[in-house]
Amino acid sequence: MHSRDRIAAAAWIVVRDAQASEDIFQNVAIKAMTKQVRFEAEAAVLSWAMITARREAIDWARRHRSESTVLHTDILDLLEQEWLQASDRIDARSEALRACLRKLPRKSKELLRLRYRDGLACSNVAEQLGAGLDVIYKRLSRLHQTLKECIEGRLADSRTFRS
Amino acid sequence: MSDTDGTYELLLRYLDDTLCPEERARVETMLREQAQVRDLLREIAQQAATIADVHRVTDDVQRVPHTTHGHSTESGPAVKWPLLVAAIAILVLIATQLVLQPERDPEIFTVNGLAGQMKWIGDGGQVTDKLTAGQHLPGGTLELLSADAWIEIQFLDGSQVSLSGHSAVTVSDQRQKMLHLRQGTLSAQVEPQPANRPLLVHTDAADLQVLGTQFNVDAQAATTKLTVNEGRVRLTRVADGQAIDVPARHQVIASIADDHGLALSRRVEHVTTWHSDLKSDAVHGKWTSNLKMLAARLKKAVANGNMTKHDAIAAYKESATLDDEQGSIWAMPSAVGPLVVLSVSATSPAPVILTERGKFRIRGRRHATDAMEVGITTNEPHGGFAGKYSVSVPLDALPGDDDTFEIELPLGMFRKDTSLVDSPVGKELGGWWCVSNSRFAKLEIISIELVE
Repeated sequence: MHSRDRIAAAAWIVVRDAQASEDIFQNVAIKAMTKQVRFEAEAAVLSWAMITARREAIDWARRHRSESTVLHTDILDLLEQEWLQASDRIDARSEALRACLRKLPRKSKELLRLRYRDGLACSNVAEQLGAGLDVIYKRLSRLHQTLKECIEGRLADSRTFRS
Repeated sequence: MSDTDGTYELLLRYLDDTLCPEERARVETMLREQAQVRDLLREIAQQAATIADVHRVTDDVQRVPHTTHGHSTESGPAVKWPLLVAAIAILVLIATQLVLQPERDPEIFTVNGLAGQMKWIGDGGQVTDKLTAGQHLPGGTLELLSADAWIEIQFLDGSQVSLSGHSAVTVSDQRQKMLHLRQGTLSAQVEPQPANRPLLVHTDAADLQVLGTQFNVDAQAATTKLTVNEGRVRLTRVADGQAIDVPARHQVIASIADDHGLALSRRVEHVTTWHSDLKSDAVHGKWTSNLKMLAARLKKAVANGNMTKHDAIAAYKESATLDDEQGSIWAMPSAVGPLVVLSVSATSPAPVILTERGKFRIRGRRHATDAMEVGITTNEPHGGFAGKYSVSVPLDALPGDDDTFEIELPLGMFRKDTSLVDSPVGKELGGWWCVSNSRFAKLEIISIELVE
């Protein structure tokens, strides 16, 4: 399930649409099963899945968005390399993130839901919540930072516990 | 607000596409140069994907009919079973890969020759960057990673395809040959194909049907240029389905944005000189207008206390014109170092033939002390890839920091990487590139000319 988070995130960074990134993840998974792919190591499966997800995401973005909004290839290369290099850490982070999300206040959950589950642009989120656009950007920025700190706290705790 | 909060906000606005072009460029520079900014972007993406999934699962659970109470609470669509199937599929796949050994995919082509950095991703997921001449491969995707890279492959029926420069093509042959050219330059010599199973070439802007011919395709993000040297190729524009048969010695350009008629043009007589329109020809590198660079220099001067804000604004107004088409191109990071790639064949209406008297005149600025390599991609005058040629420009040929340089490189100095005697004279110029030897160097090209 953690591989799912990583593949969907790699697709999301291109398409920026939760439903589309989920569809891309499903396509990759089904492709993997129906093509009888053969890999020599787990890392190769993930590498293949990330590359395939990125291709599908770029195709989707080109059909649905302006070309200029797609991240440049060299930046995507860097992001992908770093994602693959940090694979173990990302799995642990993913689990910690799910736990951190459960602890958030209701209003914060609602904001994240509108932005990332329902896929509303921040301007639409602002309208829906009756808040200013700048306020929404600042609240989202702080929420991402809060979640990051929560994840790192949980990971530090688990390391201490293990040692 | 902390610096990290500020960076998050900038990235969120970047992802929403609400930044002005200058701010977008600044974020992209930060993403290229600062690992911690990339960390934050990955963090946002990871959080976004996970948040969506957590809410989706919660929604689905709430929508499951509560049969034990004798009534249904379902108000939306049914549980998304494909999600569960897909998740299980990935887990099962990972768990069983080391055990299952399905049969290999059939090999469909042979590598005739190659050079430069590239990788091969098989349909089965195998990834390798160690290709060799004579190697037999099944269907999959070839990605050429450097400007000086090229590869020639041959199908079982003798049809040959060459790919050069920054290019990516997916190749398959399941009773019908199919090439999906995602970007780059492809040249093909196609043996006669069955009438009901022509060779197909797909790009983002056009679909080609080939029964047997020699042709070149140059695919950029939104434009595909097809040049037919022998035989005939049918091109269908993806945007509106309009089709045209392109006969020998003719060319056509199909664009995603264009909805006018497809204009067929006869290949005109060749020329022997060329002056790059840097803005239109750029394949890799960032074009920046002179006015924008002036604004950046003035901002820096104000920030350093060398100029007042009032004087800077006055200087900017004095230099501003409505014609902001003059500028230069900056090298951008690549697998082989900071790189500029220009496509000659994509924009030049006439073939540019290289002569003995030809020389490249290059003007630019070098913002670090490193040598550079200049190279060209060539085609045979009557079609087909002819090779890559390059020359190293030593440090002492270039002046010091921040100085403008102008150098002339006669074609006689250019050599193929595999040969000390072969020269590009007589070949058609397809592309031009330069790369710095240091990945940290900054290189700015102001103009490129081929003169005699």
